[in-house]
Amino acid sequence: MELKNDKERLFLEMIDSYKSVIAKVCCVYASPTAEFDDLYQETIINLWTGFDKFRGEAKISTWIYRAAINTCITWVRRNKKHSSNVALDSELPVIAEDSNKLADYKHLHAIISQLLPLEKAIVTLWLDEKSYDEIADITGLTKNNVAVKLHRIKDKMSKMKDL
Amino acid sequence: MTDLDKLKEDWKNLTIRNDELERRNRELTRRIADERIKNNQQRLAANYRTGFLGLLFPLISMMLYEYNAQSLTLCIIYSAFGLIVGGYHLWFRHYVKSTDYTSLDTVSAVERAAKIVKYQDRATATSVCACVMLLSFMLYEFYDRCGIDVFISGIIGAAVGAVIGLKVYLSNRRNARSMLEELQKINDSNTQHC
Repeated sequence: MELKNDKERLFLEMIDSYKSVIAKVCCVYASPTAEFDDLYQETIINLWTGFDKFRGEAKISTWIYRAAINTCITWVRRNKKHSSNVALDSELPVIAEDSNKLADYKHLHAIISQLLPLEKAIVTLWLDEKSYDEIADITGLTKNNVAVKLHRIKDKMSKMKDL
Repeated sequence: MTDLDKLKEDWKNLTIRNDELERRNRELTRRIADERIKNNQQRLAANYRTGFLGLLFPLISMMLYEYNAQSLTLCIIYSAFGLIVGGYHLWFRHYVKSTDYTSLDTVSAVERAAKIVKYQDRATATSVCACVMLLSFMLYEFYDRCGIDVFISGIIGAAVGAVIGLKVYLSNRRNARSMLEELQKINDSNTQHC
């Protein structure tokens, strides 16, 4: 499949560089298979739409995280039939089948899926080792607010593990 | 290693199928560039592009006044209906299209999304109210100028339209409220004190 012009080539290079970031964020927020595909597609389209306007005011990684998280968090389901707990098998198409850490990831995912949408965003960024400043920049919270929320989220997650 | 540290390690060790993602990215880029797929915002904005037709209502009502001997009052109401509803729809379309989630932080993005849902709900409510006012006056005109037969036909038409329209309106309203509640919860979780 040939790309027609420089913009498409540059855009593809960019999203290929950050594909795991986009995929992981979409995995965190998705439930059935259709939703992961929808979230991923929606994120890519939003990135394309904002690509021309991006002037490097923020780091590219910050911009990508913002786009992915904002797309997922504002994706409000019109049909609430599906459970908010993720059926992890639905993300398998993008998770390597030969991963010997799959069971560990399923456990991690089961914990994250029980968090509130904004908590998912914060914990995803924390898991990707973003600093409090970066988390604050992406989410729009203050640094202190991030620290407080993260502390509460970790406490919540610890209690979930004990159940 | 604490349990949370282990969770972090598990997250880092997650292996993504790069080939599958690269295939998807390539296909999506091609389709987006060809404008064969649109995101939710673009689809939503497209629903309101017919708002410009409302701006033509003053012209149509002038023609009705000139050639159809409609009353001046009805023509004014008809024009106002078109301008109000058409104008609001076009403004809303612009608001949706100007939303760029890549440039907003998450809190602002959620607020913007909630506003879009709220304004969409208002667009529907405005259209319904304006339509009811217009139809009421039109039916009165039918009765006053055209006779009982035309009036009854108008009533039947309005009733059928109302039944269909009300069902769609109430369903959209429920969806809008449900979406607004979810977005509001996200906003509220941001403002919780420790």
